[in-house]
Amino acid sequence: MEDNILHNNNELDSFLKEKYKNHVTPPDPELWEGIKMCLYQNNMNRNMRQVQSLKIASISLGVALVATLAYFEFKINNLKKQEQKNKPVLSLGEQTNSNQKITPIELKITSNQGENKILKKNSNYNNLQGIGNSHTQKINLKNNIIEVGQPENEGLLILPDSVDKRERKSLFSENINNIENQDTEKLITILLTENPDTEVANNHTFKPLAQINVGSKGQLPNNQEIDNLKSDISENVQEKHEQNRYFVEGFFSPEISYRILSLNPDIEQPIYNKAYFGTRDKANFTFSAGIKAGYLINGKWAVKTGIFFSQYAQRFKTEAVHVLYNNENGYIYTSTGLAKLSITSSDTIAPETFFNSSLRFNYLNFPLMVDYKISHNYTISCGLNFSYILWQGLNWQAENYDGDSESNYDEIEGIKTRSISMLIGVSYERPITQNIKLVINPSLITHLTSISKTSPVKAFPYSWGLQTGFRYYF
Amino acid sequence: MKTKVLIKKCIRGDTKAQKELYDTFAPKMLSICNRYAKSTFDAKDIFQEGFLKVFENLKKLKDENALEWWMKKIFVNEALKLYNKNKITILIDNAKSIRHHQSDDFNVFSKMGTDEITVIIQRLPDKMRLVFNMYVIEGFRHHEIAQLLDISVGTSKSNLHDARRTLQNEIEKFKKIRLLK
Repeated sequence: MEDNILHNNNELDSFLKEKYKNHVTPPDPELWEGIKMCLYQNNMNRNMRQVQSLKIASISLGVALVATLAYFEFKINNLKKQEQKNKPVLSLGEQTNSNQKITPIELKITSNQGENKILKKNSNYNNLQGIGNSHTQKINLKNNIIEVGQPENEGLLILPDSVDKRERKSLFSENINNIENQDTEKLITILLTENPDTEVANNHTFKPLAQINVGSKGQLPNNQEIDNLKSDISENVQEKHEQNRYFVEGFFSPEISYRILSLNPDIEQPIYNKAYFGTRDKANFTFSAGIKAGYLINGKWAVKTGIFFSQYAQRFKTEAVHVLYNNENGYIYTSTGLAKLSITSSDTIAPETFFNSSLRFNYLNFPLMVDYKISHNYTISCGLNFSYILWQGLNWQAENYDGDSESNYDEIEGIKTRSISMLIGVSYERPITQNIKLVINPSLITHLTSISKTSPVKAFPYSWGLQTGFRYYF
Repeated sequence: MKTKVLIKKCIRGDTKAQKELYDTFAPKMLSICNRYAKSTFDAKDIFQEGFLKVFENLKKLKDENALEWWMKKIFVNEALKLYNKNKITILIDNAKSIRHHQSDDFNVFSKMGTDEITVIIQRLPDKMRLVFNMYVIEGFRHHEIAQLLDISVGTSKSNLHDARRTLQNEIEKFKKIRLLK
């Protein structure tokens, strides 16, 4: 045999191949420990990268959204300015023709008894002659800022901003006197057509835009009241002219999260009960961010959906004596389940010290929501989120027998991958431009289902947040 | 646990399943690492890196029946990586290594156990060792070896020839020792 091996290559090859066919070398136990640690480290880095990527994606999305909105807004404004520039103006006193449709306005007087009476409408502008001066004779049709006036019995006066304040006051005063002569009027409603350029306008289908109270003595509104009136009209005009029913919004919400606990009869652990976790769990700061898109069903109701990232977090501090060991691992009960700890050194945790940890659960949520408008700027939102867990873990730190700090990231066992949560909030909207609104929405997100399957207690996390973002109507 | 289930669990990051996979294949893979490395220290290095690669790339495995073959490939690649990393040093050391080992390890083959042969293989110059392992034990062809090691087919053949001669010399020495006894 050996001779063959020495002189025949094939024999040598076969001899060695046979030798190594089933050859094994048992590895030292520390080799697995090293691999395990690296796997944990890689896992942790991957999770950190995921969180980082999500953060970057959310910010990029937000920036892209704002930039897109700003671009379109800029473009639209430019177009409007251009359009406005090219639009013909109307002189008071001129007879309207088919090419120069005006914004018809009425003044409605409401009596104490609630009786409505339309005083005048602008059927004939020739009758306004002599009321205005050179300043008042021009009005831009596209500019819907309307000043109230009741000059005479013959028609309405439309005053542009350029009218001198003094003149404005005197004209207004005159109107008030006229109203006083009517004896019972107290409330004036200004009416404006929804779309002045349509035939509907000519058919006098008016909608109220703003109201102003006039005292029984016909007191003049002060400047503040006039400004408010202008602002109301402006906003209403803007709103009435908005035909945009769709919207998208990007938001970010700083949050603080807590949890509600209830006993889990399936997993009996007398020590690790509500009282135990109640004193050891603390709230933690976190955040959520995402985008939503919606549809305005009518003036009151809207439906929304979208996608957003949310994180539920809490701090957990307990005596290290509660860390349990078997031959291989350490374990600790958290309110969301049993966590298997990867002990990084042979010295296990010193029981007389404290075990500090932070629990984090990252969810991807798909909301289905309904908005109800309670006033011009305020809306109640509520709905359900279908949540899918992206990552969860326990970042712990404790002292070992040598006085050194041990720390690691470990997963919690038995966390459900899917969960349903509810969102409720009141949002405040403030117009920034015609199509963009700032939306501030204090809200509460609460899980309706326990997020853990194997915890001695059932945990229902909830978070208070302040969603802030921009909404774009299109 | 069935291989398919085990792989799925490993992909999900289940530590228990990862340990099971490790326990199943670690002895075989360490044997490969020992043959390819020039020291036990390097072998451990290749072994750990190899297993991390395995767990990292398990999701890319298309046929679970080919798991062992696929893992072998990863470990051989890791060994090649180490070889490429240390290429310059190897070129300098190659010439001296045979003479040095011939004088020191006269009775290495006294027992001819697989572990002892592994030691002899480990002491082959790097390129010889890699070519020998890849051709004889793993069954690679010369053109594949040439491509993987970035050498010519001729060099691969001559390295294999040299490796065989060196090993046969060692066996001859072993034989003489036995006769003397």
